[in-house]
Amino acid sequence: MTILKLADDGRPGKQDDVRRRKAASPEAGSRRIAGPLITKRLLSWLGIVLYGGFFLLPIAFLISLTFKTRDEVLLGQFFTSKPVLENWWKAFEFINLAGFIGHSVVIASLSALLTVALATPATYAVARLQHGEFVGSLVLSSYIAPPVVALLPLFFLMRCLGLLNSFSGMILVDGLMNLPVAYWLLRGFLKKVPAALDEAAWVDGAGFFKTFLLITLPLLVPGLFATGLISLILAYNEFLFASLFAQDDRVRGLTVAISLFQGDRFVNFGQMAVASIAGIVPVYLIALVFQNRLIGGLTVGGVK
Amino acid sequence: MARIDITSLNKTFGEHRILNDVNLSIGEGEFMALVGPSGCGKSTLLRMIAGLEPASSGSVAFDGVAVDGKPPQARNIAMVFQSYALYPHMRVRDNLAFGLRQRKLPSAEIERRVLDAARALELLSFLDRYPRELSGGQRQRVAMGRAMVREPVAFLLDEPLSNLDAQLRASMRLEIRAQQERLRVTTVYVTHDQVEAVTLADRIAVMQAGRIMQIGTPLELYDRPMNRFVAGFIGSPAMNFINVRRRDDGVRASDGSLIRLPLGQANGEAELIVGLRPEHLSVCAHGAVDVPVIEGIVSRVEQLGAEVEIHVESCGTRLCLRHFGRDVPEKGARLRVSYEIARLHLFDHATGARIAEQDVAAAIEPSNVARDEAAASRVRVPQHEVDFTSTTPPA
Amino acid sequence: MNSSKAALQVDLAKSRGGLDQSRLVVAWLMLLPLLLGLLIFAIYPSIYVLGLSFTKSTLGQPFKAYLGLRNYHWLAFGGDDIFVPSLLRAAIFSICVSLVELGLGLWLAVLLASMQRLSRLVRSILLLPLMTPPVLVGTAWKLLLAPGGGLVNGKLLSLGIVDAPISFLGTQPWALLSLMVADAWQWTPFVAILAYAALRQVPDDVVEAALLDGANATAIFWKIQLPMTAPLLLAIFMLRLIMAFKTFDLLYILTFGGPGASTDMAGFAVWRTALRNFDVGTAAAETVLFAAFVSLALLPLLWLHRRVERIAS
Repeated sequence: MTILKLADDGRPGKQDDVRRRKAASPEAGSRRIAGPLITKRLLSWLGIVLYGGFFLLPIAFLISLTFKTRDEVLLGQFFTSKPVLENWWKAFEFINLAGFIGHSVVIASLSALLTVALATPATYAVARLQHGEFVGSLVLSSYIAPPVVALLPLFFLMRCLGLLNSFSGMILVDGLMNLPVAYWLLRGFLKKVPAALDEAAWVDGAGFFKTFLLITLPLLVPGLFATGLISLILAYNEFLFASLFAQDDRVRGLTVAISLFQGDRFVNFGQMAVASIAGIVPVYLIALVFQNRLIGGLTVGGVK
Repeated sequence: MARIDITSLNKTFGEHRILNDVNLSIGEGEFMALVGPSGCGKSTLLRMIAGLEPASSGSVAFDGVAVDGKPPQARNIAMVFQSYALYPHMRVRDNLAFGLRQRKLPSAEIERRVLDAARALELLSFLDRYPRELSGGQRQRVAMGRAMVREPVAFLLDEPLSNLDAQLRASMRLEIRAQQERLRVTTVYVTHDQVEAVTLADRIAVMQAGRIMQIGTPLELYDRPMNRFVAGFIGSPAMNFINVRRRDDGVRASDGSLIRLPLGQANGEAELIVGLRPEHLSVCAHGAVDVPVIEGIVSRVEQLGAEVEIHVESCGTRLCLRHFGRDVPEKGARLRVSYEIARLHLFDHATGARIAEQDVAAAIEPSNVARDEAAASRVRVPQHEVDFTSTTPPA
Repeated sequence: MNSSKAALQVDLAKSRGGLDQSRLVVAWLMLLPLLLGLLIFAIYPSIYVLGLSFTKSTLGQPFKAYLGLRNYHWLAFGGDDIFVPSLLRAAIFSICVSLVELGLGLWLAVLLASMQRLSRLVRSILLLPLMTPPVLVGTAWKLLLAPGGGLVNGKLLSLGIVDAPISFLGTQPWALLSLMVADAWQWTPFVAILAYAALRQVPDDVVEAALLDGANATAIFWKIQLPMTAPLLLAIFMLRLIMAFKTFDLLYILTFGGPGASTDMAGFAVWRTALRNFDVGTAAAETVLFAAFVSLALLPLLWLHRRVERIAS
């Protein structure tokens, strides 16, 4: 145990050198960097504004379209001289837009619950109970495979089970579809809960499943929520399976409804824009309100 | 409380051998410390006793009954983690009661035990707080309390004091010892700090690279370290080591200094290591004659207040000696250092094993090369043959 | 002492070296729901599709007749001239789009990193393209690029750059480019968010040490931040690549594979074979080939990722 450490020959040690340099540099540095720093900041801001404009453009254009008449639309300009509101209520009249949005919301929410319910225990089993490491590779392979692989077999299966054009069928398909994403997200979140807590609970006498319920799950709630949100959004946005398995008006969701505006028939751009904007409102609301959780979820899952 | 027996325990993780043929017996109510540098496997050993890690081969037994294959829940042991691992979403009261609730004890009993532990550890005023509202020392006590209320067959502690500052560590050390003496529970305590081990434990097992290097009481390890590693690990400041060569004309260090060995050491060529603790070196008084002395140049003087550590360049290395008193030599001065021959340790250079004192009769024969070779080889004790890891605890 | 040692030897013989049984049971019970889900969604379809690919089938009648390898033969060497090009196009599209998005996203991330913290506004704008249903992205860009009424053509005409509106979605190479632009619009923020997080993971003290050593911002970026985040960036690239191979919704809305079949990409080709040509057997064979192709395309990348990880650590 020594109180004071002197270098061999009595001169101040290396750490003093660094300290002196650090003390000197901010003043000298800021004077040096001041000039170029301002232009650099300006350029950064310019870049961000350009990016921002680019990302907002299509949506802004859609919004502007909703207020245009058919003739106005053909002019192909951004702003309109005489905004109209008729597109808005006409679109809801033309098709059961509100209904379709509602279907999508219901199916997406319930399927998100299913996804999280299936994925969470499995993630725990692999990470904490250390059994079933193969699940990681299995999940990855099923994620790499394009969804079109499952399209036909599931079609035949659902038809066989009578689940075509039913809520339960769509909830099942969407719920299973997002399992890989949910698994990887939850893995990232679970890593943030210290394993020592589980071990302490085991030593204290709590069974493995009980520990999962009483100790891990309560601490995993933010992660569960973020994963559920992302699964919900993915299910809401889904098109391929919905187009085949939920064609009936009773079950049809937003994405399929919008696709109906396609084709070679002459289409009312304004109403189509309304359908689009109205349709993404639920998702955008979620994104805006929960943006911290969503970005947190993305980065936890993607960046380990 | 239980007797813990560890037999031929091995653990491999991929390419690495984390534990290598570990044998250890801990008696009922004994306080056993596992010490060693980081990576020596002491925490792994502890976790295997707890049932948190599976063994690659070998067995752990409580009271003679093997517990391999039993999950931690079934072993009735209590553990204090290095990070404390307090349940963050529960109050202190519930943290303490959690284990008891799992065992389905009646709530009156739970309440009694929680209050007893809280009283003993001075946690009564914190019972309704959450762990995040507590200081490091308070959290540590909650972790201890959680272990104590369980009345387990053994306490396992994994470096419980390493996250505390020095003063807190010292007072908690006393606390831990007091509790252990009160409860008389078999305790296994892992630490990298040999001071903690020496002050707390009944016996210490020193580990390195997955093996046990020596088991013994603190004094045994201090007085008779069985190999160079244990000698250098136990004792602070650490023992001085001098590489020497033994020839017919005596034992010399690399700078030619002659070192006198205690009587009873064999002769013959050998590469050896001489070990001398700083407290067994002293500044040689002027005019002292016929005292074993080595000469050197003072390179550094560190004043600690109660004592002085003088570093001397000598014998081809830097020696440290502890000096009491304020008459301190100057840096760069020549110094004569005397040493206690009786306290000199000798180790084989190649194996690191202790060279035991031989009986006088066999050693003081005039040089006969063949016989000396035999004598030397008898003395040179290879590590795996000597049972310095005595597995029987003291009576 | 000897007798207790003997007793221990007996126990040793009985000891199981592994984790205990109850842990195994609980783990498998917790894995079961996920495994069942994957069975339904991944394993069963793979086997089913493989089986279908050897048959002639329709939506109404699967497994109508056994054809052996004829479907594969026709696709690879025989009369079909749509599928194999669509495979290659999918690969080119995915790689190009992922590279572009990686570059743009990284640049955006660097711009964002120069700000102290991301304001709520910036975060919201970043999230919106990600969250938008691809069908909607297609719709919005279709409207933007429309010959009559689209903003782009409108501006081009009014600025006098062109005399007549360009059919962005009806002519090549504009159709493929439009697809790429729309895809970049949707996914660059995704890459940017991940790249930003990756950049922030570079420890501050490493950057400070470099600053003290006299490095300027550019040097720090190229010599320190980029190498340290390389494995993560490669992982992001691979993730985007995997996702890009699955592009369907965008294609469906924007070009529907057209003009002709010139923007056909593998997934869409399969869909069309199954649900427009009603040739389920061939579609299944296409699916198998597609899955194999994607795996092959990804293998060198996985190898590269492992190497980069080893170098960076």
